[in-house]
Amino acid sequence: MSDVLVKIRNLSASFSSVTVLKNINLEIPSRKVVAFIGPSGCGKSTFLRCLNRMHEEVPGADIQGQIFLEGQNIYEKHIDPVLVRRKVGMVFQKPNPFPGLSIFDNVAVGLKLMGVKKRVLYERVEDSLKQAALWGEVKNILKRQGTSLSGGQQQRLCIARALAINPSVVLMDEPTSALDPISTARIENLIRRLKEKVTVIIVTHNMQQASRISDKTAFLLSGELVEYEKTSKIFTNPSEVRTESYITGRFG
Amino acid sequence: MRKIQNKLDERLNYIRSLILDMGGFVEKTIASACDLLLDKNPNPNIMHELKMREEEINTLQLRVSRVCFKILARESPVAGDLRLILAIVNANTDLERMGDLAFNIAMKVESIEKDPILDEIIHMYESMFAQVSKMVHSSLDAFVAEDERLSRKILIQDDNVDQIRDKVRKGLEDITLSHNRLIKPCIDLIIMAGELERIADHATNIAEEVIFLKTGDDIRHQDIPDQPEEEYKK
Ligand SMILES: Nc1ncnc2c1ncn2[C@@H]1O[C@H](COP(=O)(O)OP(=O)(O)O)[C@@H](O)[C@H]1O
Ligand SMILES: [Mg+2]
Repeated sequence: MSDVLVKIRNLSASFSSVTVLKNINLEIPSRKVVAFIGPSGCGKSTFLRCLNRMHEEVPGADIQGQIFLEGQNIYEKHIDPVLVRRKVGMVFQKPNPFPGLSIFDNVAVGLKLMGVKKRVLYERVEDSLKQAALWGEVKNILKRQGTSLSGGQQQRLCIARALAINPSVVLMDEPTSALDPISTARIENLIRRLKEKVTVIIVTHNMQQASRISDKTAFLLSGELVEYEKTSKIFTNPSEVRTESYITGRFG
Repeated sequence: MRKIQNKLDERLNYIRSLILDMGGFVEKTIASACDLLLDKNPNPNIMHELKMREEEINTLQLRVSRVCFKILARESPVAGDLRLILAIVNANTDLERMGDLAFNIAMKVESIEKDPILDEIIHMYESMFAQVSKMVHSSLDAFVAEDERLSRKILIQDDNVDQIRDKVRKGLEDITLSHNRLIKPCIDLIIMAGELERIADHATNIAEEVIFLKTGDDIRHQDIPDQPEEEYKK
C-alpha cells in the first residue's frame, strides 16, 4: 500500500445552499495519478476547488467536512489558504500564462513571491521547465512572452509554473481538452513522469485519457462518489452499473 | 442519467447473430458426420454440402473478425463491451476450428471400412457424438444468454467426453493387436476420437469465455498469476 497523501472526510459543498458535492469520502495516495470522471455538472471542478480552498472564494459557497493534506486538516481555522495553495498547485483547461510576462518570469514569479534568492532563481526555473518537458524548446527564448508559445507549450508552461513552488499535489482540470492530439500525448507523457515527484489529480472528459494515465479513477455522478477503484478495474470490470453505463456511453 | 441510443449495441447484436450462425453450421456438420458413421445418411451429395458449409463458416469467421476489428479501432469499447468483444474474438477462432475438425471427421468417416468387429466401438461413438454435440449447443446457448451456470456445467461435461475418448482408444488398441487387417480403420477411428474430443475442448473454451464475460474472471490456467500493474506500465 502506498501512503495516503490526501484524506477526504464527509466532504459536502454547495453554492447558495444548492448542494453540489454530497458527503464524499476518499483517500488519494502519494505519487499517483488519480482521475475524476463524470458528466458535466456532476461536481468535478468543485471538488478540485475544495482541495485548494478556492471554492470558498465564490460568494455564497459553503463547504462541510474535512480534507487532510499530509495529515493536516486544511480547513482548520488557523490555516492560511495561501499556504494551502502553495502545496496544491492547479492547472486549468485553457492555458493561462500571465500576459505581459516572459517565459522565464511566468515560472519565476511564484518563486519571487516566496522570497527565493536571485542566485538560485535561474536554477529553479530551469529545473521546473525541465520537469514540465519544455526546457529544450524554450531555453533560448526565455525572454519571449509566455503567450507567444503554442497552446500545448503554454499548457506545459503552466505546469512548470505550478511545479516551481514544489507542491505535493497538482490539480488539473481538463488540461488537454483545448489541445491537439500531439500536444495532448506530450502532456500525458509528462503527467506519467510527474508522479515520481507529485500526486496528480486530473479531471478529464476523455475516457481513454483517464484509462491511459491514471492509477485510480473516481466516478462522480450528481455530486456523489459512485465508485473509486484502480483504473484497470474501472475500465475492465466496474462494480457499479452506473459506472458501466457511463463509461460505455449508454448514459450521460 | 438519461439513456442514450447506442449504435454499438446494434453492432454487437449483429456479431452475436453471426456467431450463432457459425455454431449452427458446426452442429449440423457434427450431426452429418455421426449419421455417416452409422450409415444413416442417404444423401449422395453430402460431402459436397459439408465442404460448402465449411467454407461458409470461414466466411463468417472473417466477417466477425472484421467487424470486431472495426469496433476496437473506432469505438474503444470498455468494461462489459470490451469483455464481450474479447469473448467474441476468441469464440470466433474456436468455432472456425470446430468447423474444420467436424469436416475432417466427416471425411474420415466416409472412407472408413466397416467391419462387424468394430460395431460395438462404433456404438460408443454414437454417444460421444451426442455428448459433444450437446456441449457445442449449450456453449452457444450460454454465450448468447451470457449464462454463467450453464457454462460451468459444460466444463464438467468436458471430463465425460475425455473419459469416453480414453475408453474407445483402449478398445481400438486392443482390436489392432488381434486383427491386423483392421489397423487402418482403427487408426482412423482413434484420430477421429481425438478430433471429437478437441471439438469438446473448443466448446469448453467458449464456456470459459462466457464466465470471463460475466464475471471478469479469467479462469484459464489459474496457476499462472496475473501480471502486476507496474509491469503493464513498462
Ligand atoms: N460559481 C457557481 N455558482 C453557482 N453554481 C455553480 C458555480 N459553479 C458551478 N456551479 C454548479 O455546481 C454544479 C457542479 O459544477 P462543476 O463542479 O463545475 O461540475 P463539473 O466540473 O463536473 O462539470 C453544477 O450544477 C454547476 O451548475
Ligand atoms: Mg468542470
